[in-house]
Amino acid sequence: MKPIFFLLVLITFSFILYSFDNQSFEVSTYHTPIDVDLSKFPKNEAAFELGRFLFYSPSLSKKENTSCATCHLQSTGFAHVDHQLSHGTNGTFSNRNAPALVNLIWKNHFMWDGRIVDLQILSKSPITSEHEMDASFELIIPRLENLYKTKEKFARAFGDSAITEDRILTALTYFMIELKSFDSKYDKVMRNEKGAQFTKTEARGLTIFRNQCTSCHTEPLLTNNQFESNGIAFDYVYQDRGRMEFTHKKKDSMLFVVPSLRNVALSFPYMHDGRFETLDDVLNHYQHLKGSRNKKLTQISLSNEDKECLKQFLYTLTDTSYITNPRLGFPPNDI
Amino acid sequence: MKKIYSLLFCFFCLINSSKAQNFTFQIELNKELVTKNKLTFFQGDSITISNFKFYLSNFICIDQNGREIWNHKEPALIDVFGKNELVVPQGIIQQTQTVNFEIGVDTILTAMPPLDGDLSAKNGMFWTWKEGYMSVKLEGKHSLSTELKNQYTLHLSTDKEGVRPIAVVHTIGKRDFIIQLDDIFLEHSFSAFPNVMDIGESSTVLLQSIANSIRVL
Repeated sequence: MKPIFFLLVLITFSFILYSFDNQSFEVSTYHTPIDVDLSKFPKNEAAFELGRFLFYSPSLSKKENTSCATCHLQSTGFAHVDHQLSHGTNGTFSNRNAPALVNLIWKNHFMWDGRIVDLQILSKSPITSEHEMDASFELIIPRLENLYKTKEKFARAFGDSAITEDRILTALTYFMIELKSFDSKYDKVMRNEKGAQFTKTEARGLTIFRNQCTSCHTEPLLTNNQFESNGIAFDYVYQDRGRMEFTHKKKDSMLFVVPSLRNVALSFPYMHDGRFETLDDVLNHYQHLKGSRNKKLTQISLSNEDKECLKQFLYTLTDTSYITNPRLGFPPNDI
Repeated sequence: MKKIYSLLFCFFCLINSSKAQNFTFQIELNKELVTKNKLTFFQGDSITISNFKFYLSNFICIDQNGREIWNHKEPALIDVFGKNELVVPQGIIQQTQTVNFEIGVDTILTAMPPLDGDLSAKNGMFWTWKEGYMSVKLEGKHSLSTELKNQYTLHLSTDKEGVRPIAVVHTIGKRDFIIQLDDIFLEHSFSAFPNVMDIGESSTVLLQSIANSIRVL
């Protein structure tokens, strides 16, 4: 009797241990994001298609050689990879790396310094910026009017063929609204979908992530949409002080909008100026951070093993359906 | 004992006979091999190269009788600081007297990059505005560059219908290619044009110069 009893205890204990080891995190901290009021943008498929056309059209740039997609390419998470700083129509560089576009309707600040607070006017900034598309609507509108079948696209979207600044921005907004990513391996595991399971390393990575990172990279958007300092040093050549460039307040020095980590494995290099080439570089930065005015950072403590687990977890944030969704890709050529 | 040595020799031959071989690519400046971000002095200027990638297509191996003995038509991405090899079946390199290949990708082939492989956009070579690919990416620092941090950026390509430059190299059985960049750094004005990111004449001239600069060690 005694051996059987001990065997049962051993089996039960092993089962409990196995359960903790494999999925030892709370799924309940994940939730689908709250609904956003999109009543200003009632369903309009034609406006979406027009927005997609404009997003991929180099006609919005001064020299007709740069589209939104130049810096925001779908297959790399709508980011500008392998470029420390992004460049534009004139072949000149801005002082920042173009951020990945994802889940924009849940953001309340846009650009690294958060200077734009309305998604509908977001596109105006890169269109008119000297180091990006360096265009004006006075230049773009006549160009679009002469472009094959573009007036028809505007007519389908807005009822008549008039091309205006407001309509261009609205159409682009319709496209950007659809840039939603919630189907990565991480999401599937969180939703308890059949067949979705973390490896032990990934699960441990999530635990470390929740202990060390979610004060800024809050689930499920993986950003708290706030301005934070993450301890990176001021670059005396680029001279970019982040939020302070816009507010001119000293307290905003080196504060940047926390980027979402969705598809982070694809969107290298990292930080506002692309100074970190790889995820390892990013994690090394946090591992060796000494002293920061941001109290959230002083609590970060990562061993080499932690970093590897964390990296494996970050890979699970890649949403293949997002980066291959044909609805968000290059529009079909007009016949 | 002799039997053991014979067996070991046969085993060694067997292993090597099943191996593919590689053509390798490196870069040279001022008669020195260049490694990533290594400072090189050339004609009074200090230069580093942080990134040198290029596509080669229609890679053909030709033997001493002028016969084509192997080809690799698909584009292959060569990253001289990373994956800098083109894998070739065993025995081909020794028979090859000449290779010729195009620098660049036939952009008509693909508009949307695949997720993985040499044509993946993750390699940083996809040029969205042209729905095509750069042929060569060469980046680094040059003491004459007027860009911040003395950076220079050469993103070179041809138009979709453009003719890609062809490199012809007499390999004579050798496998290690060297791309000598002296001419590039002699002829191009990095003070006036630290950035070339287009398909225009400057790009074409630079591409041809690169194609002409490939030798074997």
